[in-house]
Amino acid sequence: MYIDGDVLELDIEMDLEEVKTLQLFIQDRLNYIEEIVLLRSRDGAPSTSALFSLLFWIKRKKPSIKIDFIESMNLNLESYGMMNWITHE
Amino acid sequence: MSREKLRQIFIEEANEIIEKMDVDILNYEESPSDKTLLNEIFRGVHTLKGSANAFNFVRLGEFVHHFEDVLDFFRNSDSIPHGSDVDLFLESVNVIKETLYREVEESAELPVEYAPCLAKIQHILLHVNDLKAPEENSTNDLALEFGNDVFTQGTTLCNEEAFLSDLHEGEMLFKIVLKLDDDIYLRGFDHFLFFKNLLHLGRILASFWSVPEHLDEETFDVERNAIKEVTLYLASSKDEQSIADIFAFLEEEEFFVEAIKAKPILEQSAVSESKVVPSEEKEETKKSNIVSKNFLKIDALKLDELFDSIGELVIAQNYLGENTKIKAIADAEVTKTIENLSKITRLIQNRVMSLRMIPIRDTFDKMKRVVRDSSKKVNKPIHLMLEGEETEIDKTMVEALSDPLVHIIRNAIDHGIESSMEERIQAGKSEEGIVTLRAYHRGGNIIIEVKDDGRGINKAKVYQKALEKGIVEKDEVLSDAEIYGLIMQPGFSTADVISDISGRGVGLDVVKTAIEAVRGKVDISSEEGKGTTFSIVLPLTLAIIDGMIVRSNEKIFIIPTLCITESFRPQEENVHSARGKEEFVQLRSELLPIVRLNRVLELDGDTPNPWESTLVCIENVRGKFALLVDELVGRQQVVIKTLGGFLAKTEGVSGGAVMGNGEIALILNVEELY
Repeated sequence: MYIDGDVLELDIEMDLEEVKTLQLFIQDRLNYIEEIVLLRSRDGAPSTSALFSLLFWIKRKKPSIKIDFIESMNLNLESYGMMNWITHE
Repeated sequence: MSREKLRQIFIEEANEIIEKMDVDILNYEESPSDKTLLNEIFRGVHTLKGSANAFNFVRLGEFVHHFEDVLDFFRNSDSIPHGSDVDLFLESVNVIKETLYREVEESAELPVEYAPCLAKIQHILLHVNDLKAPEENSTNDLALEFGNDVFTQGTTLCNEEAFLSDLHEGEMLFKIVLKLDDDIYLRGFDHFLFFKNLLHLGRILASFWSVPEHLDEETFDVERNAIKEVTLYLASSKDEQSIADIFAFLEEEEFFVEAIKAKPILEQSAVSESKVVPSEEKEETKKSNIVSKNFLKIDALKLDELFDSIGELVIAQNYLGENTKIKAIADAEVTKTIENLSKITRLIQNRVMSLRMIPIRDTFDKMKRVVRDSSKKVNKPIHLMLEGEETEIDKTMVEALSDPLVHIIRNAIDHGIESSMEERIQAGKSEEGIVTLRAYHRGGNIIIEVKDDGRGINKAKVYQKALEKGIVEKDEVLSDAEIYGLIMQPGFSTADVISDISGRGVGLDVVKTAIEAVRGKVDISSEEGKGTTFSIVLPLTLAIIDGMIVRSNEKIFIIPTLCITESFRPQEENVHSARGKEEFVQLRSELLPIVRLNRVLELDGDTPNPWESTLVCIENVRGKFALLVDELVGRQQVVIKTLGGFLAKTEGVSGGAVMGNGEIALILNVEELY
């Protein structure tokens, strides 16, 4: 987890405990975070789907925040293929 | 030599060429008229192309072939590449890196940037050849050119036909639906745990996730699964039951596995023949991918064990040298042998030490790319200056240093350097912002400085903000260093509050924590209007130090020799006292504060006169001071041992060491003594 100015960079591999820490960390700082970027090492794959749920919740709390995969509603997870987000009617 | 062995060598060489290309391109950007450098890049690319094709890495070969053509044009013409061309060169290196990785992994997919980057390269080639762009230059038609369906959008859509066309020989397509309960994490499962396990059975082609629910709640419980349904498509040669077994611990209604359709067996062809290798050989091929450099790779754990063993050897050797019974043996042969053993021990120790020490050059070189990318991002021209690249540093430190360094550099460019060239010119500075990276040894430490010539930190605003946040008390007097230190407090400053250092401070607490984790620290100095310097102070190594043994109040202490500039016994007339409390000593033209070791460490005992004691002149980050001790005992190599949780935070002490006679001595942390 990395804050670069107003951009929060997250390791896509963070586990549930780290996601819980992230939630606490971000609650006080949401006002000045303008963008969240998911970083991934070459073999990096997500560890928990809770990370994505939290990011959607953040987006709902602060709609102006930029989170790339939510803008495009998909994310290439390399070995896990393309992750597509769909809204059920 | 077997083909597999040759393949390994190619992968090693290719990685070396690619790493070098990155650095060469950045250097070429600085001197674009240097054709030698361009030729060097071209040669690397040419070698890569030949080898890639030889090993049937067709997609890599194709890409490199076009990239080579562009380089060939520039090296054979008077045209100088523009900034955008260099951007493309660097982008191409990224694509080459990623494509090589996928070729080695035998992945069917290509990097996302492959097609767009290739299209840009071809655009340059068409332009320079003064040809009209033919229709086949479009991205979609690249698929036809390479006979590759990766360029199609099929896999990103929920189109089962597209997934079926992605199947390899003998594979079947499975549709798996996961409807996991909201307590799934508490039960120790996760969607991605199943994804990971499924990779043992096949390839995940794509997945479709329903947008999480309950997002309107004020407090979102991350421990409750909010994703109602996930559908994924798996290509596998296993049967349906084997796949269903992955979900054996789930409730029946939580998962659903369905075989869609098998792809007919393909006819054997010359191309596919090369892929049909025994499974064991395939396994070996994958393992071989790990090797990426032309070095012998050793498990860091084994190196640590070797370090520990050498440490014990040093202690045993010291014991031999100090043992009074052995000393009493009046035999020249014994004395000579012990001396010889001492020399050999030191030699081995130095060699083992050097195994971990690497020049900081590679880390600095990587920062060139960080500076370049950040500079482009914020649209500020930046000139990076490097000093002391040959300084050697423990590999563990390099790993710990990389991320904080990137963070500080980005911070310097984003917020330190003035936002416009006009502002810089008005301040009498060059148009280009200057960021200097410097490494050097000082007092037993490695110092890495990141210096910018920007607008500096506004002390008054930082202090005011600290007051508002309640971090400092009203009327509390802080030194400059203490005020700058405030910006590394978690969440101290925000972009909208302190405009002229906007963002600086946000996340610097992360840097501070990372550096402190390796017993280092970060100092900040700044001059308004002139710039800011972040100094990362790191210990030389975590293993062995050359120490000066001193005695104070009948106790033995060790001072890292590299911190000591000299030791002396002063004349009485050279010792001065201020207000009867602070003591100073005149050493040639300098007036040094005297620090009594027994007082700092709160040892009981007398307070001898300085002119009856020994003063050890020590240099730390704040300058020089004279440490008062009873006497110097000797100099010795010592193995640093940690003090354990209880004593680890003792101020003025950084560790312990076992002496030759078996006694424990404390190693002094000179940064905390004064």
